[in-house]
Amino acid sequence: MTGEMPSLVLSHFLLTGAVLFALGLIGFVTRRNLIIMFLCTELMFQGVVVTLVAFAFYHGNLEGQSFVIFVLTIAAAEAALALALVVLLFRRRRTLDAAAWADLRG
Amino acid sequence: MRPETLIPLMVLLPLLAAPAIFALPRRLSEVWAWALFISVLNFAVAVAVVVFAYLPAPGSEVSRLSEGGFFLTGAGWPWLEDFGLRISFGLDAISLWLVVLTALLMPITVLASRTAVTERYREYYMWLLLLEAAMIGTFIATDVIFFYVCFEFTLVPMFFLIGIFGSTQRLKAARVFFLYTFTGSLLMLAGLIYLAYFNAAQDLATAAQTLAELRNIDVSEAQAWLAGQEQAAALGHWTFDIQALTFTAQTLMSPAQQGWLLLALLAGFAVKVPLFPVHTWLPLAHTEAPTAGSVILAGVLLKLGTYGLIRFALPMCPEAVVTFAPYIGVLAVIAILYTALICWVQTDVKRLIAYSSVSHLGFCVLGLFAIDAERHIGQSGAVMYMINHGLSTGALFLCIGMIYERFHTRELAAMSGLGRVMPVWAFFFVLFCLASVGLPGLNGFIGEFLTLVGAFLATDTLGMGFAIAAGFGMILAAIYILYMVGKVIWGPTKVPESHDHNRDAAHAGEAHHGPAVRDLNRREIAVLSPLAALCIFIGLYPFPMLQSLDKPVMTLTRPAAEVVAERADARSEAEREQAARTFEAIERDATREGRR
Amino acid sequence: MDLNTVKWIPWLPAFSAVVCCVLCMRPAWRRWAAPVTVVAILASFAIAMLAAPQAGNPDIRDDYRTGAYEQQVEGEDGIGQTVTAFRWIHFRDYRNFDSEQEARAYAEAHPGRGEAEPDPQTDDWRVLETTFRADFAYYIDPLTLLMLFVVCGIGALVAIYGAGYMSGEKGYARFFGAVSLFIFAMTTVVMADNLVLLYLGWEMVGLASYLLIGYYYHRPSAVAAAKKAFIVNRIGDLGFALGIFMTFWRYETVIIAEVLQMATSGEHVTDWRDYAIPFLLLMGALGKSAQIPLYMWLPDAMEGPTPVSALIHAATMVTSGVYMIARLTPVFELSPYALPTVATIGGITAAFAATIATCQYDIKRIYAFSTVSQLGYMFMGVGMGLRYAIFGGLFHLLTHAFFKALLFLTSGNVMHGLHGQLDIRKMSGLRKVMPYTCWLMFAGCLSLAAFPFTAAFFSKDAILAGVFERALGYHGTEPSNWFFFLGGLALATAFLTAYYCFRAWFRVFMGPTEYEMGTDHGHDEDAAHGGHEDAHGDDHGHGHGEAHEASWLMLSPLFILAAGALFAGFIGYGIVQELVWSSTAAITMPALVEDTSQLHLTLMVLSGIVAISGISTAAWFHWLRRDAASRIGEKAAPLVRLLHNKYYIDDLCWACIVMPLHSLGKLFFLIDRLVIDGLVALVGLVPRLMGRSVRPSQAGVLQGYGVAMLAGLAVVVAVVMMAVYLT
Repeated sequence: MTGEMPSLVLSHFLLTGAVLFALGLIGFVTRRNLIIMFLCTELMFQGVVVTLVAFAFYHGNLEGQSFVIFVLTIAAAEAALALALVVLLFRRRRTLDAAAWADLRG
Repeated sequence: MRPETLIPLMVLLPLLAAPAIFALPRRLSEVWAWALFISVLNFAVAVAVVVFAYLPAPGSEVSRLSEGGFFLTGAGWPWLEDFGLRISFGLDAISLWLVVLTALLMPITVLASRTAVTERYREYYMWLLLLEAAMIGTFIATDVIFFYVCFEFTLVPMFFLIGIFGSTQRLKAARVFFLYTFTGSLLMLAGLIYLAYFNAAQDLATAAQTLAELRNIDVSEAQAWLAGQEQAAALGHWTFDIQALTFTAQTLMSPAQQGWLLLALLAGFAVKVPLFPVHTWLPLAHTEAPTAGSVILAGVLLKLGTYGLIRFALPMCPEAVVTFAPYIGVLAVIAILYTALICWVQTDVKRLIAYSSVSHLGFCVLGLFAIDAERHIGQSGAVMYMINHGLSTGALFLCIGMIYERFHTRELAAMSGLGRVMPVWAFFFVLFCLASVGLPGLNGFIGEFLTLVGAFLATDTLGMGFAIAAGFGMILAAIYILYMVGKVIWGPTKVPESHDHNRDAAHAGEAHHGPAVRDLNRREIAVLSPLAALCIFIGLYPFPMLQSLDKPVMTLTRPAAEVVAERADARSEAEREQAARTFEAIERDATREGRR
Repeated sequence: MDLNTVKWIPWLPAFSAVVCCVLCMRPAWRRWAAPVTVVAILASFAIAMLAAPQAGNPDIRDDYRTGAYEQQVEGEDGIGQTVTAFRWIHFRDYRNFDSEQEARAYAEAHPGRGEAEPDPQTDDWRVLETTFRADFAYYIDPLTLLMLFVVCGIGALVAIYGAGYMSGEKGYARFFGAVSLFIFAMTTVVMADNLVLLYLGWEMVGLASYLLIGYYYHRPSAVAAAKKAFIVNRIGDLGFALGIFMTFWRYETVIIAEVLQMATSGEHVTDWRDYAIPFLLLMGALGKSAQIPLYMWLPDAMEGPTPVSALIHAATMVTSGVYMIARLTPVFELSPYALPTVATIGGITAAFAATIATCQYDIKRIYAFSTVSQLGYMFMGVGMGLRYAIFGGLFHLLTHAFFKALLFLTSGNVMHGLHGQLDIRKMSGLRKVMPYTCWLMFAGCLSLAAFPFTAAFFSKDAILAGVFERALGYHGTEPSNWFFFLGGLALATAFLTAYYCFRAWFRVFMGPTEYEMGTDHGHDEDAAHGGHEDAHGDDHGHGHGEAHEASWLMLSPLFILAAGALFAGFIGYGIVQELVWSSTAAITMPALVEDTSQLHLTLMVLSGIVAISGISTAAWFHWLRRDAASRIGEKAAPLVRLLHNKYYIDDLCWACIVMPLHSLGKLFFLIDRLVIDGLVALVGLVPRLMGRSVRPSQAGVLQGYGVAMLAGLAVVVAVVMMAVYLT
């Protein structure tokens, strides 16, 4: 903590990550559109990714970074699959409302 | 090629062939022929293993077959090395004969299923082959977890065989079968993992301490003894090797710990056997399963339970086994008598045979727990019983299946006097029935007689009363089997109304002559005759099998036998002391009298 | 002939049974079943007569009166010899030793038992030795020889008769297959070297009997009779099996010769097991030999074809109980009450069955009850524990085999000639129709009635003499009123015997010639009706016709049997006495110290008078004055009904044992499905209820799961924070 301009410290990054995660979570819980919900999960992902990168930088090793690469790769693949699934679901019910798919009700 | 490599081959061959058979051929005849080929090939491998086992090991003159412990072992492959998990395998005479039984029954069931299964046949033969792989895997495993995985995996093919190819109540039967047996074996898994943890938590020093406390000896003495034991090397590591864990359990566990372990093992194996009162899944599953399913269920799957008992329960928890033996014996006797009486009032032939399995396996369990300080007749008899019950009851289910294929009914009331219209079938059926009631000269007698002798002579655990009570099971067996034979084979001929449309069409011209019944064809004779030949052969010449079983069985029963001997010694010691005290007291009284 | 060939005696018929099974397959092959069987049995007979006598120990021929005999028997050679065919059930166990030297010494002292080896777990040494041994091994001694003569000899004659009697039947090959199987089993019984093999034969004869009683399997009564025979025998067999277990427990061996040697060694200290063993073994004998209380299967067993009744249910199988007791007499003698029990059961059964036989109308049933009664005599003989008595018992076994086979086979002729008619009320004066049969049966009846100088006269007299010797206290026994009573009972039974057998004979063959043909041909209906699938008995075609005499194929064996029934007493008396007294059956019995020829002579005269008076009574009521018989019968109608219905014991058993057990089975089945399965369902209900209680939380709405996840996360975070703060 030197100088007047507070430089970017770990907690800033963590805060950003937490805000992203929380936004994603709130969006996931409150919205009913499947695509929006999916985007919200991606948002949560990014929150975690930011946290990982921040920690990696803080500790000065590459483990977190490499983990991020993994996550991004998988997220890309997963996005492709998930969107394809959403399209399929839309074709079945002609709606994107998540409530239309309550088949798992116990 | 080393003979050891043949052992995993018996698992791999059906395991790899199963998906191939599902995927590649199209027509029923092709699928069937391939399944038959694979199972026959596997049987040939099993026979080759027997031959190798009979040959003396290099540099020795004694046949390896009669050695105690696993004589053909392979290191296997590492699985989860950190936890000491390996896919390791080995055979002793007990498991070898059971493997041969499995490998024999499989081509027979495939052969018998030729006309019984005409829809979804690719799945059917795939599940059969997977089942074979799992069953053989269970018998050859020398790693507890590998054993457990195979043991549980048998449920999956069987679940589908019953659920897809069974009779009217097949879904319920499949569900009950799966949940019932699965629940029990989870407890067993918990027990085994606890044992592995117990083993890993000990090191030589603490083990010596424990041993010294248990045996009432010096720590240094215990240490010296442990150092001399080969198996003690595994202490303190994670391992699931059966022999290492057996050593740990039998030497280092307190009676209470052994008791809990035995209860856990019983939860898994007693359901599988099945022992009274956890037998109710069996009549349902047997009755609803397709013929091949019933044959394998009765022939092999029930033996997984008794095999588990002799492989795990007897050597691992000798103290507890000896303590619990009378109670388990009572359950076995109840199973024998109670289900025999139930058999007598059945109206469905298949359910009758299914219930009779419960009664028969009661003899087997009785023999297993007939622990005697000097003899192992009961346990060897029980192993013989496993094999013989597999042959004769499996054959009975095949016979019933042939009847069901013709008439689409199994009701006793619907048929009578089939001996006249199907003499060849009647011959086989009567033969297997007689083997099942334990007629001397046929295979069933050997096991039944020896288990009863064992129970009779094991005066410290079971004794005469158990043998007498179980002996009444012999009479009841005669009653219900002859009741069935009298209804089905003898009496005025009555052939059930056939629902077989193909044949009805073929014989439409001669319908007024009454229903046309065909006797067994060549394929069906080929299905039954190897079993019949074995029933007679084992009945007359069980000598080589019995000889090969002596040492392996003694290896497994020795700890329990030693416990019996120790307790008998302690008891006679106590009695002597008691007598001495009484004598002293009398003398004291006498001198006091004299003084007065 | 080499002694080793005796091991083929059981296996030749066994092989013939297999051949007969094959011959069943083609109708054209069926007729070869009879020659195959007859040749196999004759070959066994020849081997038995040529090879087996070599087993006898020529040194053991001496004076029975001095008691020197016992001394010799305890020598090393023993009485018989063992021939092993192949090994069967063996068990090996370790025998532990404290030191290497002891173990090696033991292994050297007992070659073939195993090598001495160290025990890897302790410092001990051990030897692996065979502790349980039961082989397919055959023990040949004079007693075996006697039995082989009966089994193979009568077996061959009956098979020849059967070749004629059964001709034209669809089950021809099946019949001979079962007969071959029976001869295999029965020779195994009489030759068995160990009790387990004896048990094998014991149960296999039961199987053969089951298959043959149920030969006419389309008849429900035959099926029921077969089942009854097997199950009642199984009850006895359970006792027998337990006796074997107990014997092994007591003597550590099941080999008969070794057991007998230990039982007679004199160093044997008896304990409670010695008292129990004979009673358990006796149970088996009671079942197989149809004695009270396990007798009721035998009369029903007459459902089988007549040659079977003659061979199995009269001449051979039913005598195996007598044989077994005789074979194991030294074991029975260890218990003071065992042999008297045998004798008592025998005496009571003899009288009991004889009374029933007087009021039966079915010829075969009369002879069946007569068989039960005569077996009672044999039991009395072997149960006396005296030389004359046991000789009488076994000699009676031989003569009974002759005359009872003859009686059954001649009644088979009657049945054959009258198409299944067996009711003596419906036939009369048949002597003109079937003269040979008439006089052959007369010979049999004379012998059964113990008419002076027929075969059974001598054998029955030997038994009676034995009983009275025991009752009067000869040969070192205590005088006993009870045995006196049994002797009296035996004499009364002799009177009844003479009466009932001649009652049947006079009714059937004397008086005016009139008869009613049977409705049932008595044969497999397929043959009678030309292969129709119709299973219900109807009488067209064969219900009527002329009675006819049997063919010469059937008559010729009967002449041999008749010769035996009449003259075996003169020929066999000395030989059988020699055989029995030089076998293990008699070795422990007291020497013949007193001269009892006066008693024998008195009894001979007495039993001769009894026999003749019985015959005269029968002649009076059933030949000369039949109206008097029917008048008496009407007056004593309740008694006649009681006897005709066999004292209602069958019905009593059904009501008191079978029905309750069956109901118990039904109850158990109900319990199994409701209570036990219900309990399991109850256990299954627990997770189901738990699932139901948390079910609403799984609404299927995605956001709901999101919220739950959030809540879970919050809890985890809270816990972690708590943990961090607390430490």
